[in-house]
Amino acid sequence: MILVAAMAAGFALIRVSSESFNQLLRNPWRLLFAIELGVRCTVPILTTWTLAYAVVAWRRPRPRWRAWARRPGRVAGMVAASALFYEYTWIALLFARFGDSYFSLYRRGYVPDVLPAGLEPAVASWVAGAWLIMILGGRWRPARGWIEWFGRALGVAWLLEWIVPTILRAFLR
Amino acid sequence: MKTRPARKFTFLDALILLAATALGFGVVWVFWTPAPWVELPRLPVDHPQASVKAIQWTTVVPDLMLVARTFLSSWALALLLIRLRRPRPRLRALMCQPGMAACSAAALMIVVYTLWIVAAQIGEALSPTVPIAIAFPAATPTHPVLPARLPTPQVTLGASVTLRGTSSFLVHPWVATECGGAVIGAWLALALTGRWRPEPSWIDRLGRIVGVAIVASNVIDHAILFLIKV
Repeated sequence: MILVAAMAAGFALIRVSSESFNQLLRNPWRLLFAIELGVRCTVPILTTWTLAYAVVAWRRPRPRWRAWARRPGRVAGMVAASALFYEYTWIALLFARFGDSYFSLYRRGYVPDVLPAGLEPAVASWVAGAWLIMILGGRWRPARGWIEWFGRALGVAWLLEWIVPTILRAFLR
Repeated sequence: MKTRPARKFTFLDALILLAATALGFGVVWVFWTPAPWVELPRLPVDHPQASVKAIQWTTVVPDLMLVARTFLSSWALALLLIRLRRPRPRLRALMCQPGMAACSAAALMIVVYTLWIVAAQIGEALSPTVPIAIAFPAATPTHPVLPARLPTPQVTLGASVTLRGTSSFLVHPWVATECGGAVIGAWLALALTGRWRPEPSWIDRLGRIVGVAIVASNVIDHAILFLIKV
């Protein structure tokens, strides 16, 4: 139910940002903009799923803390959720500071493009740093189970959302 | 647990740090002659009620941050190199040291951003022009004034427009704000796994200082907008 609710929230975020989707759909540069469209469709759902994952991963029954913290999926999920919390906290503080609407702040370049995409470099860098230390430090102990698998999939998805479009933009012209 | 004595500061260590500082100066010099494919982050200060003092601050502080981050990135790479010199603990033990973790995470981001710029340059070499739809996503390609394709260098209009349109960011690897995120992620992983084991040595202390400074620059990047007086 938590994940279904998160999915629904993700679709709501996509709907809010329909204006930017229309701009992409109008563009004739098909392949590149199809990829861009794919990123913009998946980032809102990834965002809500990551926040939901933090709740799901903490629910009982769960492994002991030491075992829990060595599982790359759970660590990726928690680190990604922390990154989102950090970035959204700054945005919330900006709202409070300027008392302006999101779109007004966005047009002036004060806040990132949070609705369709824009936070994936920040989140992916947190996940990359955490996984680097786990791998090099010999703490990479993946376990069985859908929660662990789902966390790893989230971590990989955040990294791909960041890396793939950037690399493709260099070559798809 | 048996702890080995910390490695002493040698002449070669001093040379590596000096070379890193020189590299930092070199990259700072590049900022004043930026390549067309590099975006230098600049802060928008177009708030109608922004005071002159606030505008001055929001112009000066990001520039100072750029300079600071350049040196921090160079020193992170240098400290990684120094840490990997023998005699040193095993890699697994090294990765429990927060200083080493911070420098490794920052180095990873620098490598990733460098690879992206290399990829962009290869892309430019393969195709020296860029479609107008990529350069300006909002533009209509059938507009009578606009050509269908532009030479790549012309795409960069000032510091805020990047090579391939406003949706892609090719940031200079030495000033990437994502280094801060990677350091926080690495330190979170160390703390979560219960492996936060600082070494009482100059190398790890310097690494921790560089890590804290990189994170602080990320925080200042976010906090700078609060200087604008409403």
